[in-house]
Amino acid sequence: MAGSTRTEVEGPRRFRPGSVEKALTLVLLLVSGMLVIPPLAMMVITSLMPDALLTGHDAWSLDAYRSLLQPTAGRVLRDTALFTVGSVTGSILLGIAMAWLVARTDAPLRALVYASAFLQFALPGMLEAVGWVILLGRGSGLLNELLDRWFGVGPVAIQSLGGMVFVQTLSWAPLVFLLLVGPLRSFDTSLEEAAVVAGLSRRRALWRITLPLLLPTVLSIGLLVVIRALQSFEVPLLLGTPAGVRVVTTEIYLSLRRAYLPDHAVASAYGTLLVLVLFLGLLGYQRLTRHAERFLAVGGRDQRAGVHPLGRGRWAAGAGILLVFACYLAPVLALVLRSFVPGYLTDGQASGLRPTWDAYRTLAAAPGLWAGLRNSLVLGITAATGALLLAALTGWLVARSPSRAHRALESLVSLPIVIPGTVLGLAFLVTALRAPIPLYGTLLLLVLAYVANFAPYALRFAHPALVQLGRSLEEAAMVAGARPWEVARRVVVPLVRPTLLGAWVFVFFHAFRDLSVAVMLTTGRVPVVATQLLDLWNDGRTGVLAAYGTLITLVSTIVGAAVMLRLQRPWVGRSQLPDDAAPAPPGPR
Amino acid sequence: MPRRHQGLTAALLLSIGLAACAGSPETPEETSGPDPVIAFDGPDREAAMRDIATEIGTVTWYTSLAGPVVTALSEAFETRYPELELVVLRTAQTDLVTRVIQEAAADRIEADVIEVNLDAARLLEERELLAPFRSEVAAAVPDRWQSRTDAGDLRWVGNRTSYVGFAYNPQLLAAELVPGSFTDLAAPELAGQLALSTSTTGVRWVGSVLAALGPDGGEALLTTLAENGLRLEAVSGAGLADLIATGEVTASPGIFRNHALALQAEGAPIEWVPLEPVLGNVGVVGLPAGAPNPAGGLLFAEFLLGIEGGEVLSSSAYPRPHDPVGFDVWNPEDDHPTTTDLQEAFDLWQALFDATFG
Repeated sequence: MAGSTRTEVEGPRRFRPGSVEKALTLVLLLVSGMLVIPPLAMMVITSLMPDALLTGHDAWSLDAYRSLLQPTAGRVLRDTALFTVGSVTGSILLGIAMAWLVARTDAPLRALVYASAFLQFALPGMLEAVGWVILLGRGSGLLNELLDRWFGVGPVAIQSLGGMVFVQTLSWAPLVFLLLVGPLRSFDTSLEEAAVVAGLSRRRALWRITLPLLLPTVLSIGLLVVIRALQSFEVPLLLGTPAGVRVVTTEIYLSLRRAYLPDHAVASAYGTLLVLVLFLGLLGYQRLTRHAERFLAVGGRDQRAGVHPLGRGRWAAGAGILLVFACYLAPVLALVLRSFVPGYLTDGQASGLRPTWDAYRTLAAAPGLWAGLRNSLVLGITAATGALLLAALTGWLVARSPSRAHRALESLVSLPIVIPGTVLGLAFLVTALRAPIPLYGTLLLLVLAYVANFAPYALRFAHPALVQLGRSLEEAAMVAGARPWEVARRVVVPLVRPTLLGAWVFVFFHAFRDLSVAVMLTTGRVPVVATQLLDLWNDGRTGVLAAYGTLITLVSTIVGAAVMLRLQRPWVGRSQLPDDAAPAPPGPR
Repeated sequence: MPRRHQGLTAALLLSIGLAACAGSPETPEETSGPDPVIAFDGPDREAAMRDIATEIGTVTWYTSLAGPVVTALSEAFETRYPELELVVLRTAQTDLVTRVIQEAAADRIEADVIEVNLDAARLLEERELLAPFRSEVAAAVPDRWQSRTDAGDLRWVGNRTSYVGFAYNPQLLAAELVPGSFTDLAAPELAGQLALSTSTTGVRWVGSVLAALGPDGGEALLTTLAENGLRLEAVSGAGLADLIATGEVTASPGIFRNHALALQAEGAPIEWVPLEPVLGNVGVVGLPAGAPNPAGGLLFAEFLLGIEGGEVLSSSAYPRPHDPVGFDVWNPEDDHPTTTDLQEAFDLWQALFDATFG
């Protein structure tokens, strides 16, 4: 059992940051401070000075906070709570199941789980919701027509609280899956094996040994998903609003859209309250992971997790994976169909059934299309790399030496997670317009905003994996004379590489498709895909929107897959896991 | 508070304090007359404007117009002025207003010409963010649809209008159920069939109901519609028209005529009828103060107001504000001549919209 608990980690010697670490900490504090504090300060100020941004009148006022106490506030909070609890529970359960099946079982078709995650990440949230409306819209859903024709069942309206929870569960389960699959795969199974040898069944060992050891990881993922739930936007907007379901984010959106002078103060007040509430969550998370060594799971032994044979349940698991994959594929296919066939299918209008390339022709002729795609690709790649670098270095410093400076750095990098995207975008807009360097109207401004926006997510990816690494390997390397950079490059990075890859892919896809920040920062000279999609949606051109969505899904899937394959190459072919499609960490030999 | 957070908190408070002390947006000083560049009125005016505009090479157009008409206008302008590149930023009125105000406050104006609806333009005018200009082309526009400074220079000129009426999918709604007036919308047969957009169009439509039926009659109708299950769709007016064409929504009383006609032209099953008085939405063009290429902006403004721009707009069912349309029109500006009046009315409509349908 050596290497499995803190008491057995050789030598309690604490990692002593040298000059390199101190310099690194200082640089990271400066960079993250410059990225994070201005927008945060701007949000708080805007909430307390309602007219400051638009009129320059800087009188302090609590009006924005008072306006939150309107009669509908109770209903909004109730709907938000129901939606959050439902979708968080669903996505964690589904994500855990997906990760467990891939990492620890011999279920067939496990590659489809990765394909599902790719599909979800590649499809912008707005298009995902549109795809489900095409399928299960209560007015003209294609599946609803089939259900009615074949089974006489009434319409299953996706525009409902249940529909929102269903679609959002599918949206976040891949995030949970990607965050969990690495730790599950590299999990030290010696305790579990010992429990089985001592007479526990595999199932009881899973519940009593494995899951408790994974608790910090699961809780941190849970916190992340709760935050995502509270910031969820497209699904509540497109599926909740028609059903009268209103959540905090749609309230923010509506407060910014209904009047000609947008009410940024109310949006900022919502954001400030979210910061306060979720900051407590962050403190809880930090407290939870402070003694993470107790849950140490990756030590210096070869400890690739064992595979649980499912026996006769193998094919049931495969069928489940197939069903889940179908749920991810369905909205994509709906969009592909809609891109070729005009949507006017009611009453079996024959002319509407003829597939055409019209939507693609219109799309190809649209000005700025290729510039938008190119900008979004550059933005996705650079923002993902920048955010990952910031997050990985921060996570490593905190995991190895949880000093006050490192904890402050972690808090700083994490804070933007609770700033609504529109407010963050506005804050960067205001800051850039007043900056002494010409940032406004450049792609660099978008990159900086996206690094700030997504570094917290990359950190949530990286931190649990880094926390689960024992210090023994690094200390052994340092004793052997390795410099800190060599330790990071040759010991730490290889061990957490799958997790870092997951983080990169996550940020890439989300930066590629994010709308809330981009809408405030793009200019006519710097179009991006998200704002082009919004234009198409505003124009009511769902055929062209579907064509663009199809193209984007294709491009981003190819790019994401190419990056994954490229970065995995050193280990491809050497994986001993039954499913070679899955990324495998190279266990120390 | 844990000690490790004290430093962060102190830094945060310091930043907030510094940011609060930092310069806040200030409206630029009003200029006394047009920029000399665009005040030129010699015999070869257009050629001179072209030469000056070409030195910069691009003209940036901020617009809230939606749909293929934006592309059509861009192409037509670049065909007429091949030496100029038109850069378009198309987004919601609210985002455009915010952006123009912020750019002006930072003295980093990017737009050379702005095309928004009348309400938004009046807000920008009130903040003195629109530059005065002169144009012979605007002479054809009635005084009602243009704003001038005390010196007689133009601030903005109406260039197009659109009308909000009842649109429906004829495959889903029988002809005899199509309403002929606002009160017909309360028919029980229409229960569960109607939807409205959550955008400013939906709120303005509430204003048109109050204007048509009076406060009591209007509120009674809105209450009945809510009881009959009128649903809100978080899409623009154009998006809602598309939902009607696809059958996802049966009908809506808040659809722009031009959007319905554009879908009809593609063969979509959608019909549009006016419910009088029909809500009008006038779009105007103006030049932002401090634009980097004012000559280019003026060329585009005159293109929009001229024959070629008018033909493109007309082919997309955007008539001029003064063109006869064959039905009674209500423009909110008729009853609310000042920006303050209109804002107060708008707040009232919005509150009613939220209370009734929210």
